Amino acid sequence: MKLALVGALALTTALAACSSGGGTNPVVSAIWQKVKPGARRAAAEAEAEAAARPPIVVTFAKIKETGLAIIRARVGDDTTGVMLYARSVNDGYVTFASQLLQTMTLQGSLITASRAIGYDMLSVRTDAGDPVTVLTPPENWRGSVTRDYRFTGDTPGGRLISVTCRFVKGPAFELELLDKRFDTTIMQSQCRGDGQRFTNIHLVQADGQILRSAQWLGPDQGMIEIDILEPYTP
Amino acid sequence: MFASIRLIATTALVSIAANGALAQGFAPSFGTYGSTGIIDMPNAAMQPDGETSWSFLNGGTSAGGVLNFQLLPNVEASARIVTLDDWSAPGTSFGDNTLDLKFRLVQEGDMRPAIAVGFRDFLSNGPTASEYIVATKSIGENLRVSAGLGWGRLGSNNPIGAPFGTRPAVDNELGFGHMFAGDAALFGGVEWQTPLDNLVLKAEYSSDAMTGEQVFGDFTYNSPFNFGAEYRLGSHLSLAAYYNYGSEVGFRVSISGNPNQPITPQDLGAGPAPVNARPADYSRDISWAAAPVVRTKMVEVLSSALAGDGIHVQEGRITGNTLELYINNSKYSRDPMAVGRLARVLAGSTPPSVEVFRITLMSGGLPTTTMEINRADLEAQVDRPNAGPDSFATTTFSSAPNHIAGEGVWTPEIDRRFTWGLSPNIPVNLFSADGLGEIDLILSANAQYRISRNFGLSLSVTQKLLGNIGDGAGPSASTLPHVRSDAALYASGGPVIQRLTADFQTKLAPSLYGRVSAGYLERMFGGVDAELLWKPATQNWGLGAEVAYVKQRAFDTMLGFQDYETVTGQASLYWNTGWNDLEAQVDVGRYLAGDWGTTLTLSRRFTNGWEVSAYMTLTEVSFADFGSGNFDKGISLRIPFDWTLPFESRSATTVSLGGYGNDGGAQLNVANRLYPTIRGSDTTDLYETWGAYWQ
Repeated sequence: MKLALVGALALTTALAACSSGGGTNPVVSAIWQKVKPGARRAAAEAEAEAAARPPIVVTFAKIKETGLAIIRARVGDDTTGVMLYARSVNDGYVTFASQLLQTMTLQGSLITASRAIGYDMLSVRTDAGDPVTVLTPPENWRGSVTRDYRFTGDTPGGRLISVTCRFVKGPAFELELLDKRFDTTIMQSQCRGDGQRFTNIHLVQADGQILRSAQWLGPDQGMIEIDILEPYTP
Repeated sequence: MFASIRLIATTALVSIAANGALAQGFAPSFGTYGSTGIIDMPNAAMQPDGETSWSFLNGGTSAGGVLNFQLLPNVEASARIVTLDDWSAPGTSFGDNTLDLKFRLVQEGDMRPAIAVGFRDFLSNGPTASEYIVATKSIGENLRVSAGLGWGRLGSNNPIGAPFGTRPAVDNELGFGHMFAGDAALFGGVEWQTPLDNLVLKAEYSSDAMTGEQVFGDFTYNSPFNFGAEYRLGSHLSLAAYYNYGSEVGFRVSISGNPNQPITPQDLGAGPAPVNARPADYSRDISWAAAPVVRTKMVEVLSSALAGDGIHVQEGRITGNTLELYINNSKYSRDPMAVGRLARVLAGSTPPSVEVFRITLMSGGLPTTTMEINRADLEAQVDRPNAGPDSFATTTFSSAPNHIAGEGVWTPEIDRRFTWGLSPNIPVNLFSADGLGEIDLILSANAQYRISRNFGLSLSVTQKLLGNIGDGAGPSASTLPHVRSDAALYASGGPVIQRLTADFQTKLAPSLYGRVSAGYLERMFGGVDAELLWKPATQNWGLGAEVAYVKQRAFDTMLGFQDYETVTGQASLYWNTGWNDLEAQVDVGRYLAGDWGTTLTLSRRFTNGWEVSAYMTLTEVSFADFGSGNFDKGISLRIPFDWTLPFESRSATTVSLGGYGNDGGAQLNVANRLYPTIRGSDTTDLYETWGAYWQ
């Protein structure tokens, strides 16, 4: 009986999302792609082909050639990251998109929205002059700002988390990024409010340009790390 | 932290950037009753809003299952199916099916405890009926203490008096006169979150003397002190073991989920199209719209481009400054997400002179709500803070007419006349004759052939895979027409034709919907069913009327009929309260057995598609004539698949717990009633889900 129950549940789960509109259940399709005859050999061939290709070396010169504002984003254990290119601008809010149309919106260097990277962050409001949004040399960073983070949730406003972020200046740090090294200062923003606390970390050049930062994308998504390889300039 | 940064690899910022929720004590857990509590005793803690759990219990003197649901942030409900051993005679079990409710009156503060009042077996004075008031306070982050006063079963050990009079004798009849009557007794307990992650230890002083268990059973009651340990395996599974009454060992397994928290991240597909505002000096020339062929071709091309993203244009018209589209959303579980993505695409693909996007949602072939979006507003709001509330405020909502009015409307051929789908159904009969509950697992195959937008043929075939509903049911002794009580005679393994109908539905006016269905309407009845629904899109309530002439189908569930025929129908009031996703429905009318009465249904529909409904029907049929359960009642839980899948899907499954085979208060099970078809598109619903507009 127990085996029959497990079998029946597995069958219904497999068939559950099958329809003329959606085709086969995508989970079933994914499993089938893995186990179908020849799948393993095809995967091994593709892997070997990829390994044989010369690695693409990204340099700042190549980035400049594109003429595009570019950031690189990494989530979790990912070490290579995904390139996102500036696709739209609205009054200082620049939206970057990957080839798969994962998007991230930045105000200066502050991530104010993300889409299709996991749990979406809808928007962020911060105080005018937030040093993460405008070029501010490390020694001129103000003491704190307030920010309103909005995430998906009921009603048009979604779930609102308001925090106060206190900035703390740290030591100098030499950052190796692509083919160059940069002198930066480590800046922390320690944020707390509405039952949440998190710490964003920014590596800031003397002129205030943030080159790398780890920023909070919400209570479900956690942190993301971005490299600003070519900042947007109007 | 700064020192450590110096030492790390340059790509490891994420691993040292701290984040997390502030500590708020340890999570509340379940007791042996399957609801939030200590062991046998309740506490004033609540689960997170919407938390749903199935618990399987074996407590030495009882065993069974409990569906626990955090109905509202301060209201917890539990449906229990428990067998009490040796209850009415040695070796004779008693099936105790109960509804428990707990209301939190005061939330815990820094200095004050949480206070809750609760009712076990809320609807009758059965063997487990009891009432209580309890206070719970966290001391630090790892200790929680509770103390309370109980009545009924919870007032049976060392009572301190009977402040509200004598309690009537235990019975299983519907009634509320027993509440807080009889002896009252004190109880209390502690819960300790041990240093070992996920392990909680519990101890309590019980006010339940376990009197009933000692009459016929070999149960020995040695002590009022109970002890337990709970271990959580992740956030969805917990295991607990108990040593109770100084003599019994018990255990519990609970599986939990929360409709507010999908267990896999959503939206791992593609994000929405970026939007760039038109330049200030954009062309306002509309001469391109002079040629009808250009306009229709433009809509046609747009239509084919959108189809790949699950948005199917059913009608469309573009003029120099306005674009109107009637769309079916077959992909996104929340309609505002489809509308928002569509608006972004339109902003990037239509001539700059087009200033207004008028998008109408369709459901089941019926246009529901028209949203008028000003393109300049969209361009100004996109990517900015507060874009969600701003976009809802600047969008105009109205009831949609049946068709786009005027000349030059492009209508596609019906591209998918034939559609099909598979879905599981899991009906549960709480009120089986032996009181143990029955369950089926049924696979349903559904197909539709659409002749026109408003007219189609439907077929549903089901196959029972497993289950025992109706097994061992004897001949019906009901004194009413056997409209449901012969259900077991239909319960062959299948496949069976559940439904085979011709359906016509239309809009008679922008706020008035109509439907006629004819054929084999459901498993047990066939005939003709007609329905009208008045429901303006911007109103949170509607009125419906339905009448059907039906005849009972033959037991082989093929094409034949039996002799019984009747006219049934009801007038309905639908009200979307807008408060905590709660909806109410009141039906008044004539039921299948010819009895007159009313049905009250309360539903909580979460914005992510989960829905929990409870209904009760009272008709002129007496409790005695009705049989087990006294009157018709039930609960159903609808779970969308995208809750567990990492992609958008509109598929869902339903688990129903309710009466089975009762003739009184039986309604016709029509699959395509109008209100459920269109309700997801009114402004109350769109307001709730509008957060997805920019996703």
